[in-house]
Amino acid sequence: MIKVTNINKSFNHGAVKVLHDLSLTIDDGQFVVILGASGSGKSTALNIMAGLERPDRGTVLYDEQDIYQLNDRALTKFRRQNVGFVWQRYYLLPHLTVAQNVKLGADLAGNRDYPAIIAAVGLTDKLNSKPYTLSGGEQQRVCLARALAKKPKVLFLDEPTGALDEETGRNALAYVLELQRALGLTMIMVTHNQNIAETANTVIKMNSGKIVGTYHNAHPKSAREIGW
Amino acid sequence: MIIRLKDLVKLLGISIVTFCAVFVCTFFLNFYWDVINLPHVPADLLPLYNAQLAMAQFTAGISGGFMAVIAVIMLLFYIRLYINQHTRELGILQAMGYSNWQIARQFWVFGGSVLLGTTLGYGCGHLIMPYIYDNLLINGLPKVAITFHPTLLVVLVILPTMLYAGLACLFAGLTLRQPVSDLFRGGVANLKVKPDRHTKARSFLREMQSKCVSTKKSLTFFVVFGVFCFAAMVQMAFSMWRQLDTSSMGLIILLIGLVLAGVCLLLALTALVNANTTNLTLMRAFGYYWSECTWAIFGGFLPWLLLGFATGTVYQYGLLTLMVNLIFRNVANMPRYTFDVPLLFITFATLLVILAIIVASYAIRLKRTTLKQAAAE
Repeated sequence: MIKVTNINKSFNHGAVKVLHDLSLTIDDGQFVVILGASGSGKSTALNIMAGLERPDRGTVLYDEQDIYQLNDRALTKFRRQNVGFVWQRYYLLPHLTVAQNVKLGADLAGNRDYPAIIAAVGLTDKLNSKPYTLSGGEQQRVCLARALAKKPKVLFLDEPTGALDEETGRNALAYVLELQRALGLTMIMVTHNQNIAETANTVIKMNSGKIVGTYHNAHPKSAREIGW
Repeated sequence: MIIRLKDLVKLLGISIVTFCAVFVCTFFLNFYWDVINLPHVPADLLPLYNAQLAMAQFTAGISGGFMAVIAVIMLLFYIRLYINQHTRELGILQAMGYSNWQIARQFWVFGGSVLLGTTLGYGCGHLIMPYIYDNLLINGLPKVAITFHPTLLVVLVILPTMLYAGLACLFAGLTLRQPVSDLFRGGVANLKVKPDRHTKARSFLREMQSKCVSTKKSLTFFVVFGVFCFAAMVQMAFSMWRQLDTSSMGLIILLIGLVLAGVCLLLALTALVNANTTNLTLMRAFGYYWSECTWAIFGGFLPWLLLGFATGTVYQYGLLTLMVNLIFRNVANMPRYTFDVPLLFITFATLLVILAIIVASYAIRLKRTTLKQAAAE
């Protein structure tokens, strides 16, 4: 369980306040969508929950362990053992092949079976291709395979379909949902696309650094059933 | 104007190298031309006199020529770097109808960094001349007045500036000869696709290490040269100081060595870190420790560092042995020169400490960088 309590964050030495007393709880195996417009603070909240950015105030507990009580090395170890990331901009290493990019994650978990994950995202034939030869959707799937190869307990996704067209985005989302349900992962996704929220167990709406609403979907839809 | 002042600031390295080259050549060649016309040299001083002239010629030729070549390589490196970083903008200009050569002509301003270095080097060379003349001139010879040689100004300042500016335009023109569509795509066509033979056997970190070196060959040169300068000039300076009793020349060599090594190593390490900022931030986000990240980015250069150090050590030993046993062989009471083993280890340890400090400073900077910021840079 992830428990976030009274998180505050500002930039430029306090001049720009991004998060105000953010508190939320996420149960294991849930798919949570954080919904909000650009500048609502959702990516900052995601980064803080993932152990990437220290908050000014507040706590982030993973099973009673406050991750921001850890020093930098221990926090790195925490990320190494617990979290995976997928970003809108992919951040693939351009000089490495698909297989080598996925090994970035796989080596951290001592996972030698990474070709199976590449196969699971449908890219076996692109194993030795460089990222710039792939389409946007394929690059996003490499990014997903890289995150899953490290066998994370929690998967964080920052606008993963933001740069994709409808068909590709829908396919990418379908892959993610399928894998999340199959592996029982806790998954936290940030998006501004309201339709994607219908696929989640829990939806948290944010505006101006605050949570303005939370609701649960009793019957989350599949990626094929939602509008775009 | 496509090249901004901000871009030119990065060329300070070329200014520093050309400064060092012209600085050394100015006082040695001026000294040579002033002293060679002395009317009467006593017979007992003739061996030392000839040795001094040979040393002035030799040092100016070797160090000046060597640094001029390095400045050329740096100039070409920066032009390529500039083009790689501004591929899309240059592609837009070409798409709008500007020819390669119209764009390439703008690169003459890169020669400005050479003008700055040579002018300052020439000026400082003249400033230090009275001190050098006092040190180099042999006791018993008449005092030599410092004469202004206009030829030196042309050969060391004006000619190099024009040559380097021309070379910059020519190289830029040749580098820009790519299809506009490739430039628009950010020059990705330049990324060579080679079959990866070691995919299964190597770990990710080993793969990163290997790619960092193979995709940044020009930086390998700067690492080798920077370490070479450090090893050669530091050991040479202290050997001259301790064994050959020539502290003033030793000091000049030490300063030039440190400046050259500093410029080359900072250039190489900064370019390497800048090229890998996103990769490093990504690796940190995924949970790689800083020591692993450092090893992945810098570790591949370790054999090159050792090569640079070994070459520099052999070079300084060879040069000092040559000076003592060949150029100064007829001079009476010439001190003996032997290889200084403790100095070798002290120099190597100092180099490692300096590199560790530089890498640690980058680590502090990168720890504060988020992935979004890194990608935006």
